[in-house]
Amino acid sequence: MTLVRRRFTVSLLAAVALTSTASAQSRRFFPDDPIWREPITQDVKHANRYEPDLAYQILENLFWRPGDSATGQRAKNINTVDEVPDGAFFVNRAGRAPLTPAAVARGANTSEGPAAGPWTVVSAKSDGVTPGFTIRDTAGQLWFVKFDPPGWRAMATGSEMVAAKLFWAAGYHTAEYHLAQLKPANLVIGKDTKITPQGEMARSMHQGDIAWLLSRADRDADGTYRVILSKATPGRPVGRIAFHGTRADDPNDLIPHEHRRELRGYFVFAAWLNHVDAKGINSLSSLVTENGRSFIRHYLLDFGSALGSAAVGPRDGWEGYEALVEAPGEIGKRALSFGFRIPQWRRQDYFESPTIGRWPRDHAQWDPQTWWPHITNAAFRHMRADDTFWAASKLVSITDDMIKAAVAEAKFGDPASEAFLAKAIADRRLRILQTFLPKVNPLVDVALDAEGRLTFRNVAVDAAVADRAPGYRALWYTFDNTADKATLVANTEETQSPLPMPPMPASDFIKVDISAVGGPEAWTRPISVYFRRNAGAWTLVGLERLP
Amino acid sequence: MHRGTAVLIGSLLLGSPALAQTTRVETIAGQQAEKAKQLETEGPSDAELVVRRVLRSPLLSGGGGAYPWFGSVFGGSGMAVGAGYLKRFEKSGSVNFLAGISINNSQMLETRVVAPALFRDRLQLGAQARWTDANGVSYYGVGPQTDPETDFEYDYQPTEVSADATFKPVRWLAFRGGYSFVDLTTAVEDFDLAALPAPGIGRDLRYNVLRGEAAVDTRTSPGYSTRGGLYRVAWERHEERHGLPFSFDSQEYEVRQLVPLVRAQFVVAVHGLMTLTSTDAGNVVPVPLAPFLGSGSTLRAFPTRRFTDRNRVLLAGEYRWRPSRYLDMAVFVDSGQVAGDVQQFRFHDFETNWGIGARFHGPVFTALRVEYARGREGRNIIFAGSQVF
Repeated sequence: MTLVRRRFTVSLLAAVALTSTASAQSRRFFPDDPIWREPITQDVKHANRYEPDLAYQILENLFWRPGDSATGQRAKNINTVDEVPDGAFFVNRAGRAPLTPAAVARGANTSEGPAAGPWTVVSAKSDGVTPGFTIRDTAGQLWFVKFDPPGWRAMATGSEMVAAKLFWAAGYHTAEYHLAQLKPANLVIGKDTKITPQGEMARSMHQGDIAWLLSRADRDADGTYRVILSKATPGRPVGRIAFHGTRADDPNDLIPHEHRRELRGYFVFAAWLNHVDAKGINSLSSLVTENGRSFIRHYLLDFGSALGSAAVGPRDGWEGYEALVEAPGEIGKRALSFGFRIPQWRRQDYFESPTIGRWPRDHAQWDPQTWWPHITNAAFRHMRADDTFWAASKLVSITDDMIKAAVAEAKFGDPASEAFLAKAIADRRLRILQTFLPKVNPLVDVALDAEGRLTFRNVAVDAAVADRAPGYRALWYTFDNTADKATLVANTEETQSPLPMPPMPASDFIKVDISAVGGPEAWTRPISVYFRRNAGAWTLVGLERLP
Repeated sequence: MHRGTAVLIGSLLLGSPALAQTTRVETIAGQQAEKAKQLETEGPSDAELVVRRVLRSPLLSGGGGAYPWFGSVFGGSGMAVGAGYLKRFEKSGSVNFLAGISINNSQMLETRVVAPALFRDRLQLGAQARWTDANGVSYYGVGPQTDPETDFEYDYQPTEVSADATFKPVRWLAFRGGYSFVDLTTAVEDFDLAALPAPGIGRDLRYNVLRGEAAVDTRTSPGYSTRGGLYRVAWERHEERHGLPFSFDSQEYEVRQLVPLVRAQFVVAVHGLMTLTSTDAGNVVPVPLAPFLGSGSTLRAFPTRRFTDRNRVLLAGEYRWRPSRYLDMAVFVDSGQVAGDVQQFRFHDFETNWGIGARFHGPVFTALRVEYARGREGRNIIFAGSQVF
């Protein structure tokens, strides 16, 4: 099945199914709303391993923009309270689960690293410019081993560690990562291990290949090599994350990926950590079996080109500011300017060190809206202000101490660079909050208590990135869930939370539109919240925040 | 419409079990059950298969194989097309066959063998055989003051078999040496050579050629760079094998310097080239092998080989700016002169031209150079597949 056909089929499937929920049954909320876990009800029985071609991915995103052509649509995988349920791509951590610096430092790790003893090389990465091995430890566990480029000790390995911890904290599935010192004598070549040197046929690997691969890695004075090991993810690899369409062989995969909020919001997290290589090939889809159910889980991997690292050397200035191919209009303007239309990345000052690479010295003025990955994708193109708000609201819960804990895990061995890096990440986090939180009506934690008081928080104000609104207005409705119809009853206004509930006719559901009186224009657009009466108490069952 | 889609829509509209669910989870489960009935194999689209086939051809993936070729058979013969076959070996070893033909019917065949590098990639040995049949090579006479209207064209057919060695003790330092056997013939029709003396034209010459070169190259790549420089000294001895009076020595001195400004937003590039020849007593330098100015890389507004003499000096400067990581723009000035003797160079008499150009390039190569150049004798539009300097 081609991608085009699959997209058509599945989009139609989702559209028809959602419509049927509203019209045929005429019911907006089900008894189990909001759901916080995406249902996985079907076994994936015949998942084919499909490795997308990187060059093709680049070409299709440059020239024919795959995925749904109608942008501006609301994300389709969110629950009724505008949140992403836990699922194959994402697990709610920041902002929903208790998160501590220690938890962030631990990240996805469940072990202490490879078992003691020799590492058996089962394959080697012979293409490209950075070496890499796949090894099996004495316990039989597979690990992927990566190095730093010569002269840049800790840059690629450390950046990967920091980014992996923080992406995990944000909620994405990541692998388990450990740092180690590799002694070449600890490597044993497996008896069936093959290597395919560039331009040659596959052949048995020998010690000379190890020496050649290691010659391209940074070597410590004692003859060892600093490496980062990522544990093979559970299950069987079946491919990479696609940022549009759905997997044709996964019955649980219903929502086209460009309409998944966590993949749209991935842009914000990637911008935060300057993960310019945020493309499908740096992910892994794995067929796992848990609790008797076989399903596909999607992991983010390979963060060596994040922060100030470009994996093979320090980050180039343009990375994070421009796509792999610049916009034609901009090229034209620069061509006609005789060079005097100078991009910002050429003019700014950079911090550079062998341990963290190269990154702009000042992030306090950074604009996350101007960030660019090497290659964009359909999910990023479909991103809306409510998606960026969602991602930014997650970052509210990731504190400076958590950032420092993640940076400390990288063991850069360079206090000045570590301090710079932690501050840069914190500064970029703040810039994301300043940019994306106020862009929509930023009310969260809306509740209606037993005394009839409507409480809420303005997350932008609480994060100190916006001034307090002069007041809030609430339009109160009774809501007929079976007919999906709201009837206005009254409106109330207060300078701040809480707002008292006016006398309301008996109803199992209440809808309230809450908007700011004054403040940014976006705040005057109401969020709609829905409450259901449960044993005398009001439970939030719905929230719509439209840009 | 896809059959599975039609079935699904029908089942939903007719009141499938999915519509009868009473919870969100049951509703989604119903949709998943429907999709489970129409699963297909995950795999590449037809378009991706095409791209894979093209990009993973042996040559593009670095493995070698047959390939199309676009370039130049001989300077001034126009655009050429051809085909080649490359077979790679370990440690940069390769065998390459190439055949090409230009728009003026000039042709060439070439075979080059490069042995696997020795001594940790420091020493590379190679051998080459090349046959060229160049038509319509221009000749305007010897000296800096020749008349552009008094010229003729000759056919030039050199065959060269050579062997060479390159020793690079460090990345930026190279010593090269080699030997060539060159057999060249020239022919001219319908022109009175007495009216425009042309040493060597119409003669069959055979040479033993020895050459040596030392170069310091700090550029990131010879094909494209924004910084660094090339400083080169070369020497050649052309010994006519049959004692004909056309033996000579030549020395060449070259400097290329690239100065990046504002993180390489601008690059100031300068080029200096001096070629000097000296002959044995009673000998002359044959026209086809004499230094010349005028081409897509030397005095770009002038026709190819517009000025020929025993010596030449070329000075060029470019102001380059970089609208894209794949496109450089440049304005340039070339200035140069040929002379029969070094003492005859007069800076104020140098021929000068200016121009503007665009260069499409990758990180280490220049794919296309398009330039407009204007000088005293007219204008020229240049298409080339290499960096000018």
